[in-house]
Amino acid sequence: MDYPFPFERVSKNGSFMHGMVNRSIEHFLRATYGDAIWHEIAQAGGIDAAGFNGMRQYPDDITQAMLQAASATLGKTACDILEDTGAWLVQIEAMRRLLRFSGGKFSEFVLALEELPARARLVLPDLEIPPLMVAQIEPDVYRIYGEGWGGLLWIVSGALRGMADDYGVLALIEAGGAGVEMRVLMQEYTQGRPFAFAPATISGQG
Amino acid sequence: MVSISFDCVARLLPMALHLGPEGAIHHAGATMRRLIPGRSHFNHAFMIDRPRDVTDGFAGLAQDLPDISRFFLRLRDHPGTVLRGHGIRLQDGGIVLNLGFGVGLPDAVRQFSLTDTDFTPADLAMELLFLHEANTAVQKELANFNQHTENARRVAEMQAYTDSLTGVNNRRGFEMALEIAVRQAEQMKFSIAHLDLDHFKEVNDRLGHAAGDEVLQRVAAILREETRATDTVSRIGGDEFTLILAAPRGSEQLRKFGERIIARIERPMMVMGREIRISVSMGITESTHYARADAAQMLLDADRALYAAKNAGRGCVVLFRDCPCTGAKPDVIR
Repeated sequence: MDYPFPFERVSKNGSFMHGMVNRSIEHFLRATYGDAIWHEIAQAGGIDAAGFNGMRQYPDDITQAMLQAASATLGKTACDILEDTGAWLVQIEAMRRLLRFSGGKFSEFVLALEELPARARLVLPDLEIPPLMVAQIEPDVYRIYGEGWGGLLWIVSGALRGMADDYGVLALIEAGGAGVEMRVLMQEYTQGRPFAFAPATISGQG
Repeated sequence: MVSISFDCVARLLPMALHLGPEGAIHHAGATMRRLIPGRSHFNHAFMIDRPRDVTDGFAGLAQDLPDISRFFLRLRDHPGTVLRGHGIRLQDGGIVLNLGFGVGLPDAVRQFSLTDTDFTPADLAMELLFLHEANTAVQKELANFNQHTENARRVAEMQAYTDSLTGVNNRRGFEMALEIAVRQAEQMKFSIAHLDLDHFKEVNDRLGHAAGDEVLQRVAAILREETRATDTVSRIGGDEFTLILAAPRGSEQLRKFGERIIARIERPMMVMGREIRISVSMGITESTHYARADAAQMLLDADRALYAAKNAGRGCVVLFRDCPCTGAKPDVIR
């Protein structure tokens, strides 16, 4: 089952992908499959193997070329690659911490996903994330959807998977054309990963 | 008029305090209680940090309260934590204060292990913490990127100054190194050697350019082996090399150094299955010759010495200081 690459409207001007997205996919591929495979993918996709700059924009074509090459090289669908990228991304300590600021409980976190674009804009004003909606269909069933998310919805789906683990919640998550559907099966499935709101002592203070 | 109990107020304002007319702590919001556990009087819990002229604790604060629009309180148990706030006086002489962490928030959250439940939804504390961390992450990302760019720039710069055939400096690299050497000549004496291969054109003509290229690579390798890390080896033209010898060497040492290089280059080389014999002529000039080292003059003089070496029958080294051919003596001899 090969999904198309529905990237027709990721950014508001319609044809550019923020470097952060490309860089995330690149780093996921490198971290998971190694630099040699990354070079292979870069060469097959006609991409600079030196990698992406997270602080600039790239034409969507480049993202598509990278995904197509990765898909062919790894024998996985582009959607699986995006989903794995999302799950990998939220395992990065800085990233998961930022996300956990949205809610003390997993249910709060999920509902606060609607705030995600505004939060992202606080940090990266030129990262134009389209609006994200969260509908609570049943007490434990959510649908996360948004126009213009296209293939990036699969990153959201993978990130949700990762964050459910982080909060220690057992959930069934599936992405499709209509959005990401999530059924929470058990609230306190595991202890989750520990989290304190206080920042780790970065600057030697404290 | 509706009156509400302080318990209700405290639920809305978890950092609020209700003080009696003498400064006794009657009530405290849930978060405030975590900061001053067990304290029953304002003066046991706080020092007034600002306004500076309020020096008598609660009494002074109570007296000035209508006029103080904001004040800063330091926790006695944790002097690193300063709270900011304002207050109102009640009809019975008591006081209600509402306090917050201000920019000290990240430290306070760490100090008291605060979580999102310690702040009301209206409070921007979580957003501030979020921004604090996001900003750190973005800075790190930027620093990474800058490092990336810097590395790329260095590689590009190195390539721009490197002769791709032999890996030694090209003419630009040589000029750059010479400029630096001249600028530092007063602290660090140096010499320039100008080398020109003898019989190289014959190699090219007889065996082709591939063989010629290999010979150039061998010569560059010899020059690198015979020089020190502080010296600079460059190929500035077809079969022309230069050396900037940074460490001080005496004239006799220089002559011996030149002869050793010539001897090595004169050894027969096997190139593409053929034995090749070449030689090299060398002219050297030393910065100690000049009152002020001048790149153009030194280059010219090294070139004159080289010319003298060629005239003297090739395969030899000539020091400009005893150059027999030019007639023109160096301007200054020390």
